Parts: sequence; structure tokens; C-alpha cells
Amino acid sequence: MKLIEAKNISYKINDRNILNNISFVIDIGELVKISGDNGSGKTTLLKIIIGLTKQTKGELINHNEDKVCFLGHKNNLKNYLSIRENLMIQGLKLDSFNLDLLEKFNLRRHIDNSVGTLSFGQQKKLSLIRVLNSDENILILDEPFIGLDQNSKEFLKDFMEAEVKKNKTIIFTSHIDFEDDYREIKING
Amino acid sequence: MDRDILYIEMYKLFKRRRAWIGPVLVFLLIIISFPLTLDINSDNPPQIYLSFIWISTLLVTMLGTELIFSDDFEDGTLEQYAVNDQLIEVVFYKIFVHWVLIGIPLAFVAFLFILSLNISIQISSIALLCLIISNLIFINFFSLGNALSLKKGSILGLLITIPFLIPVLIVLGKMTTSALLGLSLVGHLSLLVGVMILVASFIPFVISFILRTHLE
Repeated sequence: MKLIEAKNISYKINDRNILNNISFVIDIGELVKISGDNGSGKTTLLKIIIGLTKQTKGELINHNEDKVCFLGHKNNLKNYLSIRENLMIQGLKLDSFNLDLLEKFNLRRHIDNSVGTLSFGQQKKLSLIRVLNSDENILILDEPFIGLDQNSKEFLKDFMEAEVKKNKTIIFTSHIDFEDDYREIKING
Repeated sequence: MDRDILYIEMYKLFKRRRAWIGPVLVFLLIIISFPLTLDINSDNPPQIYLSFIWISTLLVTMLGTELIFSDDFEDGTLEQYAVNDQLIEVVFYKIFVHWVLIGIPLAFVAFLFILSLNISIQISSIALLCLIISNLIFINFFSLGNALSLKKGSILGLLITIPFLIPVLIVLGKMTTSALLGLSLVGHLSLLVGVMILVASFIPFVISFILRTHLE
């Protein structure tokens, strides 16, 4: 069943072509990787898919009417708040599931430290907790593996595969190749 | 309207103490230093003090709203709200929260200052009411200015929005004169409330449109 249809999408800014005649179909329950070189327009394409940016040419038909879980380049964290407070303002409870995640990501002992004192990788892991808790059927992740150590990357890959088996749709951008079963949309700016 | 967003916005601003205590302290310092530069005696008409209060609150609310959107824009929170079509709610709540934690305390500090100048309790109370109303108008306009210049520093947006606030200052000045002459204030007060309702219900939509444009 079709979720998103893109027909000859182009995006141009200041006479510079970012995306050029891109067409694809994404079905419900697919794991889709958008790949391309730096500056090829991967983030722009994700923004078009979630409706933040409008393509300059072409048509995008989005059959989804539900909320989506989106994790962009920015981590949605407040540097002046602690891990506990950041989870709280994201509507997440400190239940056994989240405490286990914090333990797995080696963040539990920093739970009352301000996020500003954490490293980039630790902040990335913390921002992923929101994704790992998401109820939404569509997850859109922009470079989710950047900054993660090998164990966390494996953990995230396993999570993505498990979610797709529950008929969720995951669209992500990445430079990393992994052997698992996903469909790739290549773009070359 | 999602009450969770209101709670989150209130919590975020409350925890950033410098963002709301700072402007109130600056205002306090200004009003403490004002009498040091001017002899307070019966020759100085109360209009001078009240005009000084109006302009000081205008400038301090400008200071207090400087970071209203920039923090959430930088860390991707606004992007998240935009994806879930909650931008308009967030803008309403952010303005409301800034009014509660900055606008209203400023009005009460000013009220205490006015009382200390031996101005009648009746005129002081009217001034308090005017400040509560006008601070909401100021915060709305400065939020608009900050939204306009989100990526370009706050000065540009403020230069654009301050001229819109001059009519509000004129109305406040006229109200002061009428109050001191014992004339009816119903007309001026109705005008101020009308402007407040119009501004508070229209500007957040303009701001959310501007923010969405920044997020594209």
C-alpha cells in the first residue's frame, strides 16, 4: 500500500539545483534509506516528505494523515536542563524501559547532569530515546547513526528492523552501508 | 490547545532564570536609578514618572523577549513542532508564558514604584492595569520582531516593530493626562483592551507563518 509518491520532484534555491527530477514510491512498512553525497539534498528531500519544505517542481502525494516521528540534524535537547528534565519535557517517563535505555547508552549516571556537559555522541544517544519511545507509524530520521559508537549503531539498526516488522515505515538518510534488507533511494544533487 | 505544551514552555522559561529574572532586575535597577538623576518633589508632575515607566517597560520587555524563539530554533524544537502542526499553539503559549513571567511582574514592580512616589492609589491602580495590558501588546510585537530577524540578529526585527508601538505609547500618555485631570478613562481603556485583543489573536498567526518560512 502506497504511503508517499514523488513524481519528478525538483528543488532549486538561488538558481542552484538541489534536487533534480526525483521520482519514487514508498510503501507502508518499508525501510528506506536515502543516500547521496554531501550536499546532494538528502535533508531537503526529507523536509519535502514531512512537509516543511515545498518542492519547486513536481508533485508529492502523501497518503499519511497521522503524526510522524522526525529526528533531524538538530537534537531537540535543552542544554540548560538535565537528562531527566529533557526526557520529561519530551513527554517521556522514567520507567524501566527508559531507565534500561539510559543504562545501555551509559547515560544513567549522568541523569541529573545538564545536557550541556554531555559529549556530542551522548547527546545523540539521548535524542534517540525519543525515537525509541515513539508510537508513530512513520519514523523519519536524518543521519541517525552519526556520532554513535558501534554498539549503539547495532542497537539502532536492530530497533529499526524490529519496528519495520511491526509494519512501521522508516525513512532515513545515512552514509553508512549495512547489509540488512532496506531499499535505497539514491540522489545526486 | 495542548496543555502539555503550556506546561513545557512555562517550565523551560522558569528554568532559564536569567531570561526572566534578568529583565525584572534590569527594570528594578532603572527605576531605582531614575530618582537619583531627578529631584523628586512636588514640582515634577507625575506624568514625567509615568512616561518614564511606559518607556522603561517597553525597553525591558524588548530585552525579555530577545531569546523567545532563537533557542528552540537552534536546537530543532521548533522544527519538531512544525512537523506536528503545533507551531501556532507554541507561539501562543510562548507569548503567554513571557507575559506571565516577565510582563506581569514588571507591571507590579512599576506599580510599587508609582506608589512610592505619593501618586494616589487610584491612579497607581489604573497604571498597573494599563501596564498589564500594554506589556502583552509589547511582548506580541517584540516576538514578531524576533521572529522576523531570527537568522539575522534581533536588532533588525526590533527596528521594524518599535514604530508600531508608538501609538500604544501615545494612548498611554493620553490616559495618564486624563487620569491626572480626573477625566473618564473608559474610552482610552477600551481602545487599549481592543488593541490587546486584536494583537494577541492576530500576531501569533503571523509569527507562526514567519517561523515556518525560516524552517523551510
